[in-house]
Amino acid sequence: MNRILSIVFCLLSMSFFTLGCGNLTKDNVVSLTQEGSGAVIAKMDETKTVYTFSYDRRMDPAEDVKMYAPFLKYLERTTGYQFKLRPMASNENLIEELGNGRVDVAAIGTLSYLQAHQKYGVRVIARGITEQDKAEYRALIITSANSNIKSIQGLKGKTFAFGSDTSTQGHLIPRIMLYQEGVNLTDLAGYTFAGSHFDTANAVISGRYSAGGIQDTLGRELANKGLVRILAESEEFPSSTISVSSSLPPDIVKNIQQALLAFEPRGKDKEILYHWEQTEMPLGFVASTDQDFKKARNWAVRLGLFSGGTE
Amino acid sequence: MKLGKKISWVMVMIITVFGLLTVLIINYVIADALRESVQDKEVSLAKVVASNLANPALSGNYLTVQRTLEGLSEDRQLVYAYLILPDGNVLHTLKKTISNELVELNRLTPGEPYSLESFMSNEGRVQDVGVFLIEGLESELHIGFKEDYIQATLERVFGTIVLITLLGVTLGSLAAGALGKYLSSPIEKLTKITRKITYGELDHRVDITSKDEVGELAQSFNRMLVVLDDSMSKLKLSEEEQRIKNRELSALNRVAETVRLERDVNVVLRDALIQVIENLDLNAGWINLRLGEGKESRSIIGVRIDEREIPCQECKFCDCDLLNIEKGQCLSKESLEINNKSFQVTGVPIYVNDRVLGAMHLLSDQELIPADLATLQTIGGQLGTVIENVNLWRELKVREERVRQLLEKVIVAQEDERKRIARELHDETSQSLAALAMRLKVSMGWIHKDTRKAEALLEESKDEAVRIMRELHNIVFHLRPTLLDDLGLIPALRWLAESRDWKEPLEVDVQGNWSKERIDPQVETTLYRIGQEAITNAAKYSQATHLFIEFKVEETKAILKIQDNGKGFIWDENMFELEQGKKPLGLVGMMERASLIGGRVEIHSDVKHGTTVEAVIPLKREDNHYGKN
Repeated sequence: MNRILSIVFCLLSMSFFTLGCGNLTKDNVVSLTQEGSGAVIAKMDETKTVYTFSYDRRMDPAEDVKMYAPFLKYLERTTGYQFKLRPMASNENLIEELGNGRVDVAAIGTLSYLQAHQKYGVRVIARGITEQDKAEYRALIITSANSNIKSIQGLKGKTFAFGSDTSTQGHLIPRIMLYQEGVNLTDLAGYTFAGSHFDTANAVISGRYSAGGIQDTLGRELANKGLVRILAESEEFPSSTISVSSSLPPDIVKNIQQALLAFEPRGKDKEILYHWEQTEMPLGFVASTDQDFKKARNWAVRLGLFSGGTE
Repeated sequence: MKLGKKISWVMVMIITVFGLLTVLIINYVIADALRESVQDKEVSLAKVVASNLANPALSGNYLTVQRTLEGLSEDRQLVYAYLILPDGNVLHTLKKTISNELVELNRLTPGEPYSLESFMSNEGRVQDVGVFLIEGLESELHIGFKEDYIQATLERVFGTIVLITLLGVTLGSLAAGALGKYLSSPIEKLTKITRKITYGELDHRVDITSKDEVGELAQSFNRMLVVLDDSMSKLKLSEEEQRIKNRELSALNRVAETVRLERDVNVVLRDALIQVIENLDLNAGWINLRLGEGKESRSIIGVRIDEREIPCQECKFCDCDLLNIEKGQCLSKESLEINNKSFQVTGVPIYVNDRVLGAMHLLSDQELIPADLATLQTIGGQLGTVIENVNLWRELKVREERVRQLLEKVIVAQEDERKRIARELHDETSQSLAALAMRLKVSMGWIHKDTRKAEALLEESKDEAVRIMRELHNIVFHLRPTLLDDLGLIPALRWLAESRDWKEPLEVDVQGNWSKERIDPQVETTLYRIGQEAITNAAKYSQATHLFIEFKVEETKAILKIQDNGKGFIWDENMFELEQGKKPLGLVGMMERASLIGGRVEIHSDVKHGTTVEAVIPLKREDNHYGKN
């Protein structure tokens, strides 16, 4: 009997010893607030050299981030450099940021490039290859699926949604298409810069605007789903670019360019990407120079979107 | 401490210990699972909020972001929420300026999906959950959740578990007590039965009919008891049998010890009967002995019973043979009343081989058991053998006496024969030879004086010499007749009967199957001596004038019969005198001679009707060639 009692005592002691005191820790008390009204800035890691990457807004802001974040991982892995994604806030101008070097690399359309190049000497190092396996792309003018507008001329007196005012497919090329068909902005009942191609699509599908200029890839996808109807398709223009700040050292530029040219979004690099097909460079990149943008620069000048000038 | 209490205590302790362990372990597991679950939900919530905040934050709609964060504050469990924008600015829900300590408390590192930090704040324990606004963007959303409610939940769970455990321990203890009683109850029953078995009470059985191991044990125990009971019964039976056997052996041994062959048979039987009565715990008894070969019997011995009480009975077992006796069919069971008390009388035969010599009757209060009957039957045989042996002993003694007397007779006969020879040689042959010598001396004196007288004297001397020679021949012949060796038994006997100088000459008739072959010389000599004795008796004492001798040889025996016509004699009287040593032993000598080689002599004699002596001597079949050639 005594032996049984001893065993029981040992079991109890052991259990309390092993389990009883598990949560007893002593913490410092953290104050949630502090005195004063000054803004609190979170510390950012500035010890390492980090190259900032930004982009023209194309889609939903979050979607843009999700698309480019894996791409930056690719660049980091391939070049060995550190990259930081920096979406442009609404009060920020990417061209300005590229120009003053706060953004080192950017995925920007033709119009932005022309402006940045003309103003700050921003250099193009690559152009995106589209679904058509070309380094050019087109823009579409779409209407809602049940619209009775038959042609561009039919847009007179109608409302029209552009993308960003710096967007090539969302603004420059649709302007060219309107101009070629003799439709001036003044012929329209109204127009707006919706922001992104998504916003344009939403504006047209919802009927808030009669038509809109949009990236051809997205436009065709929506048309295939019956959400919109393609009213017109533009001729080809140089596709979106990867441009770098003029302050970026040439060797780094070169390494980045080589990484871009080696990028295989449908091949070895496919797994890490997020809806890369929604970008304007779904099949990767080709090397590009400013010479490739001569026609586009002329149209921009003609339409008053750009003051002109070359490098 | 009894087994049932031991089981109860052990069970209670085990239940208590494991109940407490269960409380602690469950508390630990539930706390861990609850925290993990809550953390998962908090992380999920943070990710959802981050996803919702991404677009307005990236679009610069900070007011929207601020309002969304403040909307979260409606949750009572939420302490704060703040968003670190890509440029490092912080939007938060706190009433005052957020502290740098809080902002830097749980910063995320790239690649990390989320970060958790539990800390003690000035508003209680807080779980900070940090997630990236969007993966790949240096913008972090942090939400602080109250942990106190988790602790409160855990305390409630702990209390409930403790309550349930205490209830379980209580019920378990009661069940343990019941179980202990349930388990120990049959064992107690078994123990009680075992105690009874210790005192030899094997007729008890365990009354447990359950189908479990205890039930099987009880059934096995009962089976064991049955076997044990059976074995004990057999053992008792065996002991009883052994006791009876011992009693039987004791009785037989005592009876055997009473046997003194030299004592009178009646004394021996009386002592034996006393031993039987004492060893078999009987009341009394008597022995009847058979008279001759008939059924008449006489009560000769009574022990512990007045002879007047013994009923007169014939020999009731005289018709029994050995087979019936051995089968126990020769028993009598009667009742006898003596002095107003009734007894059971059991009679058994006294027998030897298949001859019934009498009966032994024994009185008992109640009927005897079969074993005692068998014992009495054996004793009956034993007493029969005793009687037989006593009689044989007596006969042996008589025979020894006869042999002694015979030897004396032989010695006397030898002396008589020597005296006769000496007397004859002295009185006749010696005198004759002296006369012959005198006559020859006279002849020698006359031979030169008177030749004729001398010749006449010599002639007389010659005749005298011839007579002396005949006398010597007779002496030698009577020692052993050469006719027996030369011609056989019958010529020798005839010559003996005819040539002897009896007072009265005998006429002899001889009859028999003659043969050239001879029988065994020993048999022949024995028959000759028997015949010689018979002829001598006939000639000398019975005044016979005629003698009839018959001799015949059969395959296995030789028979010599000599019959005279003398005066005869009374046989029993003669034998009485013989036993007293008053008469010559001629007749006995004949019998003894015959018996020495396995034969017998029968003598029949009636006064005035002569005597017949018949000797029968066995022959070996293979050596008997008499009459075959």
